[in-house]
Amino acid sequence: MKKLIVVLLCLAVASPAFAMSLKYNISDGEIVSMGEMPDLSASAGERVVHVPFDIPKEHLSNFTFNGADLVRKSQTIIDKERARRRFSTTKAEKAFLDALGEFSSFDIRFELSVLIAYAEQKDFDGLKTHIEKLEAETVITEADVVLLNAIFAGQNISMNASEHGMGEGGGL
Amino acid sequence: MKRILTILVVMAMIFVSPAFGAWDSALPAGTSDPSDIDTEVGANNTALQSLLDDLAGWADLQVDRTNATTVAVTADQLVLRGSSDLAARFETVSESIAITTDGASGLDTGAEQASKWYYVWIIAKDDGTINGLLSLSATAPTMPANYNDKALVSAVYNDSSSNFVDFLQSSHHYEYNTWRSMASGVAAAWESVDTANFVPSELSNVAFGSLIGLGGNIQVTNNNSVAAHADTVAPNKIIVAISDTGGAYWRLHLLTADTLYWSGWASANLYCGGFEITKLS
Repeated sequence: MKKLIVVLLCLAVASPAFAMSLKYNISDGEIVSMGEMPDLSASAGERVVHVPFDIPKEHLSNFTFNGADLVRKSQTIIDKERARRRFSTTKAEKAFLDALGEFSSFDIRFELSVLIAYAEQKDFDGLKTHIEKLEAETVITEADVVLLNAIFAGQNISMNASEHGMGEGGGL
Repeated sequence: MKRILTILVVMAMIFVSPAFGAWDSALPAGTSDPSDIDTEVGANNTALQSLLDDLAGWADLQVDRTNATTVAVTADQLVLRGSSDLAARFETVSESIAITTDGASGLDTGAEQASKWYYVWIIAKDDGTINGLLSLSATAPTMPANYNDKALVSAVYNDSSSNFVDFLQSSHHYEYNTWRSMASGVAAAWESVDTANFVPSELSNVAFGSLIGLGGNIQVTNNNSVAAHADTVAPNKIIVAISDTGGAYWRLHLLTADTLYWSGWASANLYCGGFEITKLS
C-alpha cells in the first residue's frame, strides 16, 4: 500500500504543469508545429516532445530544434526564406512585362505562364532548371537569363546555385 | 365578448404567480399573532435575498496587471456576498493585490506556483474594511481572520516564469495586452488545442483571438466533427486562405471543455486574444 502511495506521489510530482508540445523533423530539426496540443502525434520522420518554453514571438520557421532548445537560423537563411514566402507573382508579372522590350525575342512572353507557375508554387529550383533548359535550347539568350534573374532579384530571390531551395506553399 | 376578454385579462394580471415571495412592508405588524412572526419575517427575508441575488455584482469594474506580481482592481460599485448569504455593497473600490504578500491584499495560502490561474477576489470585514485576495480557488478562498464577505471578480495567469501575464479586464471583457500564441506551425488535420492556460474555465467558456499566417489555409473550430478539409464548406469553422500575409478574427464558444481545434499550413499561428467572462455577474 505504501509503495502504491509513493508511486502515485511520484507520478503526481512528475506530471508537467506546463504541457507545451513541439513536433519536429528528426533529420534536420525543422519545426513542424508547437502549441498546447495534448494529442499532437508524429508522422514518419517526425518526433513530438514536451518542452518547458513558450512559442517564440518570431515565426517557428525561423528556428530549428536540437532536441533540447530552439536554435535560431542565421539571419541570411531567415531573410531568404522570408523572401520566398513573400514573393509576389503579380509584381513579377508586371516587372516581366515592363522589361519585355529588352528581351531578345518577343516570343518569350509565351514562356511567362510557365515561369509564373513555378514561382506561384515557390519552386525556385524548378524555375531555375526551366530557365537553364530554355537557354540550352536557345529559346532565350544569356542576356535574357540576366534579365530574368534581375526580375526575381527585385524581390530578393537569388537564382544563383545553392542559394535557394524548395519553398513553402500549397494548402491543406 | 369584449367584457369577457377584459375580465380574463384583468384576472390573469391579478393571479400571475410571482417567482419569489413579495416583500410586505406591513409585516410583521404590531397586531400579528406572535406565533406568526417567525413565518412573516422569514417570508420577507426570502424576498429580500432574492432581490439581493439579482443585484448587479459590479459597476465600471476594471482589473489589470500592475507588474509581474501585482494586479489592481477598481470599481464604482461592488457587491460582496457574506457567508450568511447577505450582501454588502461597496462604492469606489480601489485595491492593489500582490502575490508576494500573505493574506489580505495578497495570497490567501501557500507559496506562489507557476503555470497556474490565480483568482482575484475582493474581501471585506463586517466593519467595512475592504481588501483584495489572490487564491487558486475560484469557489472557496482561504479567508483571512475576520473577513466574511467576498466577491470573485477576475483571474490572472501566472506563467511558467512566475510572472503575471499582462491583461486588462473591463467589466466582462478580458483581453491580453499581447495576444498569446496557442499553436503555431503546421497542422494538417484538426489538432486539439488545450485552452486551459488561456481561458479559466471557472470564469468563461467564450474565447476570441486571431488566425494569422504567411501562406496557405488556416482554420479553427469548436467542433472537430465538421470537415477539416479547407476546400469543404462547413459550419462552426472560421477559415482564412492566405496568399501572402493575412488573417482572421475568431470568437467561439468552447463546446468541449478547455478545447479548440485548429489546422494550418506553414507559418500558421493561432492566437488567443482573451475571453468573455460568462460565469460571473
